[in-house]
Amino acid sequence: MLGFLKQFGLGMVYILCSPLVLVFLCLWALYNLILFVIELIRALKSFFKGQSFFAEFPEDIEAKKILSIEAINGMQNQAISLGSPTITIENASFNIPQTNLNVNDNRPTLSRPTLDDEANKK
Amino acid sequence: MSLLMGENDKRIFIAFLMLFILVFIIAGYIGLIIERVMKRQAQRVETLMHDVVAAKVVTTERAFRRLAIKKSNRLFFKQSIIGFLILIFAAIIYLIHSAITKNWMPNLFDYKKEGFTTILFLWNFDDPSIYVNFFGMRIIGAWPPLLNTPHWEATAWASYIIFPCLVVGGVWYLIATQAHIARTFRIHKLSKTIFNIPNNENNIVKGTNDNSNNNITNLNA
Repeated sequence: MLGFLKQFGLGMVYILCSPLVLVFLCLWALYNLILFVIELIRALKSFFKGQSFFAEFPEDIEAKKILSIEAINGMQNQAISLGSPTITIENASFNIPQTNLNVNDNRPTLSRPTLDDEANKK
Repeated sequence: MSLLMGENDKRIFIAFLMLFILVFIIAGYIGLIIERVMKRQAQRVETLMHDVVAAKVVTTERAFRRLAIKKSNRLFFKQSIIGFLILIFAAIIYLIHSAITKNWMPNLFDYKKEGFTTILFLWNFDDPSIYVNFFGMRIIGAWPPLLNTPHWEATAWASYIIFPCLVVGGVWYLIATQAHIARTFRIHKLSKTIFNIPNNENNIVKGTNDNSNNNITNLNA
């Protein structure tokens, strides 16, 4: 019943506001008409300059460069870390005395060393 | 004036009330659908701005807004160009037809000779016999007589092309406009919040920030 009343109330609000919304939409459509002409001129200008009809924004070109460099660096780091002693750590060949001994609730637990620990050790 | 209603009046009153409620409920649902569609249209801003925010090319509210509006405008141009081409096509047909017939003001709604409505069913709502008086109000009380049955008219060929083109092109343009409005609101909202959220909670940056190295180094997990 509450949902029904809410829907009814919303409908009333939408109907009452619809003339204002329509006026707003019409004004925006008129503004967009000007925008369309401006964009068309811009696109034609770019086309006759020998570029693509929709030339990329300089910010996009810069972002693509940065992201591709980051991606390459990420892949390199991944390759380095895969080739590092991590594999031997995974195979449980790390030094037991180097492990951290945590005492919580009087129950000793072992935590495995991280890559950073291994790097620091070296 | 007596306020007592007869049986017939009561029935009409109940039907009128139900129709009234139904109209509001339907309007509510239409509004809800439009709202959801606009939300979906607004999500395009995230796609447009993802790379520049993730690469930290854009770092201020103002720069974000400026670039996002530029991109949104271009997207509007791309989305509305087909609608415009359809409208231009309709205008060309109108010019050709008017040049041939020398009639520069064709009536698109004429149901006898040259309008699009020749191929539609039409009822005569001007007939006074179909209306009844209800509490001083003049409301429709009977099905109106048929005015026109669908038939082809050779002289209305231009209307058969121009009218659908105008409707399709116009609706296309209005939908693109609606999407542009939705994106503009989203841009203003995002520009105020995007640089205040930590990267790992930021939907725009999420994904590219997901460094696979973390999974390798985090052996404690």
